[in-house]
Amino acid sequence: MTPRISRRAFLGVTGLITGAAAIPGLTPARVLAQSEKPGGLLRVSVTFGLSTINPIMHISGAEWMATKWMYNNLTRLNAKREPVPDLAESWSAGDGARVWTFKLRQGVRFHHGRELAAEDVVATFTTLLDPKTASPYRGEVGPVDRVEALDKSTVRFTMKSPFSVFPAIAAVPNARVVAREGLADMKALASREFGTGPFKLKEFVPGDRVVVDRFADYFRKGEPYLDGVTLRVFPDPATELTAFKSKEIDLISGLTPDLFSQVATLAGAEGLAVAGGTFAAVTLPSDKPPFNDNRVREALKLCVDRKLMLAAIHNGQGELGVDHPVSSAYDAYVPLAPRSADLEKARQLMKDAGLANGVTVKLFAANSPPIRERIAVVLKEMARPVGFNIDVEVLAYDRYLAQVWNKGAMYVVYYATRPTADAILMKLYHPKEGLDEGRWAAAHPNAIRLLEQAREILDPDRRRRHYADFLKTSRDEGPFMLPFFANELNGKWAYVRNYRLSPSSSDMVLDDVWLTGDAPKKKT
Amino acid sequence: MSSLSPTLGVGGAILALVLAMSLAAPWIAPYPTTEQHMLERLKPPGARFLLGTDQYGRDLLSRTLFGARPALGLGLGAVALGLALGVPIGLTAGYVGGRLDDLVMRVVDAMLAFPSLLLALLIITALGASTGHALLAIGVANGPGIARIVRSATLALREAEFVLAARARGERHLYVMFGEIFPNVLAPVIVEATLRIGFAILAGASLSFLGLGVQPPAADWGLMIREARQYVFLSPWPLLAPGTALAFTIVAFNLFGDGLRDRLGAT
Repeated sequence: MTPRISRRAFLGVTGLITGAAAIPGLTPARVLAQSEKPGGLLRVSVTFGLSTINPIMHISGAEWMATKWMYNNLTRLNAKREPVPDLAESWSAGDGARVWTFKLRQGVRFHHGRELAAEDVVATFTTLLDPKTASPYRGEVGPVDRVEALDKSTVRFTMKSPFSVFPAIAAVPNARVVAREGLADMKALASREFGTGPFKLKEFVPGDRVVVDRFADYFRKGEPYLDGVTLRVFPDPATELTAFKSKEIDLISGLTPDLFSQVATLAGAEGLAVAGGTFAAVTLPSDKPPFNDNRVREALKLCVDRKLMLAAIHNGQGELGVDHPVSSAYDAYVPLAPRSADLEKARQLMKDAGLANGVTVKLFAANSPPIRERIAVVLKEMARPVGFNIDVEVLAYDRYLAQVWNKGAMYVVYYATRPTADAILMKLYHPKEGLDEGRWAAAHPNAIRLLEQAREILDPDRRRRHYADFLKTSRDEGPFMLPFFANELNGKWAYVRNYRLSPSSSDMVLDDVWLTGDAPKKKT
Repeated sequence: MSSLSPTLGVGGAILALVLAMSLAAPWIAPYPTTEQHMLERLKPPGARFLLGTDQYGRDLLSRTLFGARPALGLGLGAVALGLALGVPIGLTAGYVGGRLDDLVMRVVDAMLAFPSLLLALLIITALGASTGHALLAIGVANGPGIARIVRSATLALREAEFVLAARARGERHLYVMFGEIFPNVLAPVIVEATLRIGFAILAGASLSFLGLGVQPPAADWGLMIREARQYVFLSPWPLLAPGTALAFTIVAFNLFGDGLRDRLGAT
């Protein structure tokens, strides 16, 4: 007979083991190895999106990157995308994952001097979850009902329903822990910081740069090694590459594949690639014609030669998709049969849907990142033979956010890798916990129920089976044409050491990154 | 009769060539402008693709030939719209004079003080990005300049004998303005309009370059330059082909306009 382990015992033990790894004395003390050199300034570049550094409200990869340096979460994800301690040194689940208790590290200081307390975590999550705050990622932290400080260093989260992946979700960018005095003025928080992270804010120019300095009292003693970091925005990738070539930039985040191939050929430079869950997909608004008819949605999906599209748009750097957002980078990944282009079947579907003479649709694409426009342009050509006359409109990113995104139109949506499958699925499909960007939930309540049930299941295999059912439905009937997942591509000079590219490239940990003596001497 | 001036001749010849290519594009372009040869992206000029291909493997020669159409259409259309707005305003202000002239000219001055590209940007931001809106925006931005030229020329003719004669024989004001004065201000208007076409094409290309004019995947020189910019390190051809065509066309209009001015004796 197989010995039975209760869910409660299992979670308790795993939480203790994970937490124990963070206790000083149980792991080798972090010392600066002989080869690792402290000091120096690192200059990182991005191509878009740096308008706020308010962790509760920020939405773009560049902003997440900047706040990762200035703040900490309760947990962070390791290379295997498992939650490991950050501000929390241990955690445990109770009541079938309905209650999660986090024990905070001792002696963590905010940049303005005060010591971290459980009330700060409570204040952060209370603000984040308050509908009046209107945090764009409020739904991503799960069904949190109540947050309480049990004592100075213990926080308890009570969920409305069991939520098995909460420790991983605690690592999302919008759950960075902010000092409670900073939360009093949300407007000021857009340009000031109240964090505990390895670096503290020196200068922030919206749309242009963030400059941070080393925080001497960081709780990971001896880190960070760098004296400071500058994050700069280069809206034009060609200018960004020129700056990199002249060593004005040490590390390029979010490279286009064409520039990636350029970086890889430069002597002394390295191109870094990692498979992730980043994608650009076309929303097919399913609450109105023509896409309220699944035959039309399927016809469009069948127009796409995904292999060719991946080769043409991302130099083959990625993984083919089948119209759902869960790549092999996620624990919940389920391999489904690939979808090949089938124009004959697509034409028949259009005929059956009464659109034998074709249909004209408007497709919006923000101008950044460039992959959005490319997907739109290539899709237009691939779908034309079947009778889709796609009228593409490319618009500025800010205008897209204000006038198109999540307004029920047909547009190219772009998402970076999220911490869990639950996070991206709820975000895209759920009408309350997420945005239901394809306006699909109302007509597919059973599929949405599958998502709600999956997040309550503690057994990973059972959970995966639930996700498998959902992903099949999404592939066959879903409101997204998702052709491929793009690898994360970064470029750096060889003098930048110890940098590990995460599948979520905005999850840029610089705590133990250092520069060799070959790094150019610079002041800013 | 004086011989053809070199500026008029060279400008006219290039313009005739551009016009002929744009009209003949459907017959001489080797490929459809949006046909993608994805396995032959960013190819240099060769036997199969005479000017090479862009980032989607589209034939640059075909796109450059067809790209002349929106450029010329936008340039001519915007200036025609500018004339439709500017000529009546300038004629009326110059002919009527007095307070109306003062009022109209102050408004025109205020609009002239506003950079025309900025004015076009404002109009497009309000209406949305499209070819039609770009044409409207550039046309409206051209109106005040043309109005001022027409008004100056009208002022000089207002007291001319043939105008006074027409008024003395009881002609209606509208007839005097359009039947008597307008044919005599036509020379400077034609010269001004020709020069403005070059600028209008450039403004249209600038708007497309900013993503506010012609939308992808249409073949348009400004849009082609915008898209090619990201690949300039990998292949210069997607940038060179539309850039050269644009430069030649604008220079041709300017040469032609200058030559026309010399020829017509307008100032």
